[in-house]
Amino acid sequence: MTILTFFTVVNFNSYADTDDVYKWTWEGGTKSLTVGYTTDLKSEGTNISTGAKYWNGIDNNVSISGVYYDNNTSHIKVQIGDQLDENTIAFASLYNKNWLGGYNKENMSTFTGTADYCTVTICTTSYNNFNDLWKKAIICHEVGHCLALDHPSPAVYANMFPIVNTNYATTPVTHDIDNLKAKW
Amino acid sequence: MKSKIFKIVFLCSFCLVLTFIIIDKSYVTKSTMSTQMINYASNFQELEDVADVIVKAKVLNGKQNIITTKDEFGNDLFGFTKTKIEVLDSFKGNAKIKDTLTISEGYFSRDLTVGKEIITLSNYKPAKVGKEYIFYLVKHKIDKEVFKDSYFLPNYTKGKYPVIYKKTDNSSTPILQTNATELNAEELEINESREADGLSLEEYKNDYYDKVVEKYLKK
Repeated sequence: MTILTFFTVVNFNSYADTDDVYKWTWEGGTKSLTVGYTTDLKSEGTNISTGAKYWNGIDNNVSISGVYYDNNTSHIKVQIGDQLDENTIAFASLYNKNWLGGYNKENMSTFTGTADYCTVTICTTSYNNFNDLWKKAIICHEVGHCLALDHPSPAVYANMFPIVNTNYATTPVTHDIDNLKAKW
Repeated sequence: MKSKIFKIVFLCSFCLVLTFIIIDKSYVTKSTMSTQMINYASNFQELEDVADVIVKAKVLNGKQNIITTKDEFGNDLFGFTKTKIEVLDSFKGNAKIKDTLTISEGYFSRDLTVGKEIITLSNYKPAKVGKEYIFYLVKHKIDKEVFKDSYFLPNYTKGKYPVIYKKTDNSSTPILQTNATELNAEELEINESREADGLSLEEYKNDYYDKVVEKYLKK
C-alpha cells in the first residue's frame, strides 16, 4: 500500500511538470497516424519521413505508422506555404470535420474536441536555409504539434521550443518525451 | 390563424437576429498561432546589429489586415498586419524624423461565421495606435509586392519597446518612465508567460528593456 501510494505521488508530480499538451484528441481514438507530403516536397521526402518518425518508439500508444509521397488521405499533410513572412519557418493547423462534410480550422491551443486532419505548412525560404539535421528537427517539431504537443512554458530545452536557438533540441528530449507519454 | 402569424413572426425575428450575428464582426475572439521562428538575435548586441533601422516612432491609424495564404478549404491560413509608423527620432539607418515607415506585425484577423478571430503569431502583442515605441526593424528581402519597401521586427517580442509615460503624485502631466523596476508585463506589452522567448520578466527588463531605455530614452 505504501509503495502504491509512493508511485502514485511520484507519477502525479511527474505529470504535473509536463502539462504542455493540447486537450484535443484524434477522431475515433486513432493513435496510429499517417503523414503525406505534396509533390513539390519530393526532394524533402527523407527529411520529412525521418523527422516525423523521431516520435516513434517513445510511447506504445501513439506512432507515425507511415510517411507517403503525394497522398491526400493521410492524417497529417506536409505542404509548402511559400514564404509567408521572414520570422516564420513552419506551423501546424488543425481541422475538424463539420456536419456539412466540410472542414473547420480549429484553434489548436484551445480546441477540446476530436481532430480529423492536420496540416504542416513549411515556409520554403526560411526552411531551405537550414541543413538536413535542422530540417528534420523542424518537421519533428510540427508533427509534435499534430501529436497534441504544445510549446514549453516556461521555456526549457526541447524540440517543441519554438525558436531555433540554444533551447531548441534537434530530436525529442526529456521534456518532449514526458509530454508525449503524459498525453497518450 | 393566430398561431400561424406567431410562427411567421418568430421565424422572421430569428432570421433577422441570425443575419445580424453573422454580419456583425464586432464579436472578437483571440488566439495564438504556434509558429516555429527564426532566431535573428540572441542578445541585445545582436539585436542592435541585425536591425537596419532603429527609431522612436508613433503608430499611425489605418492598420491593414493582409491575408497571404488560404488553405485548401478556403480558410484564411496566414497573414500579417501592415502598420504605418511616424518617425520621431532616428538612431540607426536612413530614416529621418517625420518619415513614415511601413512595418509588418505578426498578427492578422480572419472572419468567422460569427464575428472575427484575431490571431497573433507566437504571443506577439500588437503595437497600439497613437502610442510611441522604440522599433528595431529589418528591411524585407522577400521579393513580393506586399512586402515592398517595408520592414519587419526581427523578433516578435524583442523588436519593439513601448515608451511609457505615467502620471505621478507630483506632476499633472505624464512623465517618461525610465525605471523599468515598477513596470509589469502588461505595461511592457509582452506576454506574461514569455513562452516563446525563454526569458523571465526580470531577465527581459535587465537584458533588453533597461538597455533600450538607457541608450535611446535617457537623453
